[in-house]
Amino acid sequence: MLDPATGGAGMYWSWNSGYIFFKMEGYSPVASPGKNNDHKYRYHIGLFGGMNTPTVNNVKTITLPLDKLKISEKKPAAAHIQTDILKMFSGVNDISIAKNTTVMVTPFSATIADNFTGMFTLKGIDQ
Amino acid sequence: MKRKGRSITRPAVIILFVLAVTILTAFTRLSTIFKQPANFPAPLYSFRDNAVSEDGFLLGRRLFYDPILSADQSISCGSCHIQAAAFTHHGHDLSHGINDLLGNRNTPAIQNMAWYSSFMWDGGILDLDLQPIAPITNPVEMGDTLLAVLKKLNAHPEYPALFKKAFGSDSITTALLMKALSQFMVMLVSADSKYDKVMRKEGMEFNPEEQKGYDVFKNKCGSCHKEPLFTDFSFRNNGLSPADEPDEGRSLVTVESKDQFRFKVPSLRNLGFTFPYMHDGRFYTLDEVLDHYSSGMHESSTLDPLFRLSDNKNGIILSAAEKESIKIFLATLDDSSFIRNPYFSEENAMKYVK
Repeated sequence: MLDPATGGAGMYWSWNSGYIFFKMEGYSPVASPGKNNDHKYRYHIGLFGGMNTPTVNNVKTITLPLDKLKISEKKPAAAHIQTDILKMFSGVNDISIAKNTTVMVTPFSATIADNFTGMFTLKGIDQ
Repeated sequence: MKRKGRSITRPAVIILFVLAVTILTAFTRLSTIFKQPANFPAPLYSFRDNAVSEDGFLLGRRLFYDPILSADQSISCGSCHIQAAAFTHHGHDLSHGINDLLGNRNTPAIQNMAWYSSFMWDGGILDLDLQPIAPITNPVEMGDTLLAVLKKLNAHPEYPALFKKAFGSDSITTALLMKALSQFMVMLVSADSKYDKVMRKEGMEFNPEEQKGYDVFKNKCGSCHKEPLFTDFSFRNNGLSPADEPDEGRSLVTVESKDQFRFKVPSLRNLGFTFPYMHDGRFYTLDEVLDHYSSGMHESSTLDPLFRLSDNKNGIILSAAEKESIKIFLATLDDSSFIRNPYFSEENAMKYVK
């Protein structure tokens, strides 16, 4: 389990129980100026579907062809998985920083989460 | 009488003494076992995953009252959850954390937590074992990080040994910290008010005024403040006029417009000790609360349908006499043994070293 104290630090919503799956923040001239007038954009994507009350479910299952990966006692194996961050903005759906400068727990988070599925590719196997 | 006393031989006296000590010890031990009051339903807390032990309870109690859990070691859980006020922040509308920073909601009572399926006014937290992370890391409450808290605890001269005793490991983790705090919190059961003793037929009865109040209560308030916990655990908009910077309550968590301005129905147990009332502590007396329900409601689209009356009116129809009756009944929900139980006290918590 990902510990909110260490690996999960900053990736956990304490006030709305659940992990943040994806977090991206930065500055862009097209982002709305915001309170601090610093044009900062923030994407915190979480929500697992809820326990007692249903919420948006942004959990995605991604299957990569790892069937060729053979792990033996003698030789350690490694899979190289590449993440294309740009897919966040242009995967299944086009996302605009100008239009959606801050996305956290609104239903629009699902539009961004849909883009995660195409983000990961298996680049190679060392064995 | 004297002769009878003399007839007890010395070995018998010793045996009696040993027996008394054994019984007393057993009694002290027994009090750390979670007991379901006879007039309560089965608890929801998963004791299977975190069975309460005496060592776990004592450790949780000490942690609860230790400001080591805050960034500048000034605020403990017990700072805002004071036993004498049924574990609320006595007299505070809103609570203040480190550096005098002010929170935005009224401290809820910690009582009968084992029966709750969600926590906080907006129900955003789904498990008691996840609850303490919120106040520990909230910048206006204890303002720390879990990592920093764990570092302080692991470097502490006593805590690692106390965790070892309670959980078999002196390596303090998030999970063990949460479990220890839960072991204290689930034991905070308030079920010995006059109401409870009447319900359990423990030789007590309501007087005629209390009985009258009980009848009015059941008719006018009991559908949301459901017995025996005096909440149905639902989230409702009870017509409070929004503040200048409105707290949208439940909808902050669910992002559903239907949940705007909805808050958890609070228990009415120990009301006599937990003023002020409502999620923002705006009412200092029960009179204000009852007046709100009879004539002070703010109309909005999410106002709970239970408050809708005919002729476009809203609220609960309550006469002055009914209000007095209700107050008399509500006083029977005050459990002074709960707020005075030495087992829950800060004074005793800090004495516990090993």
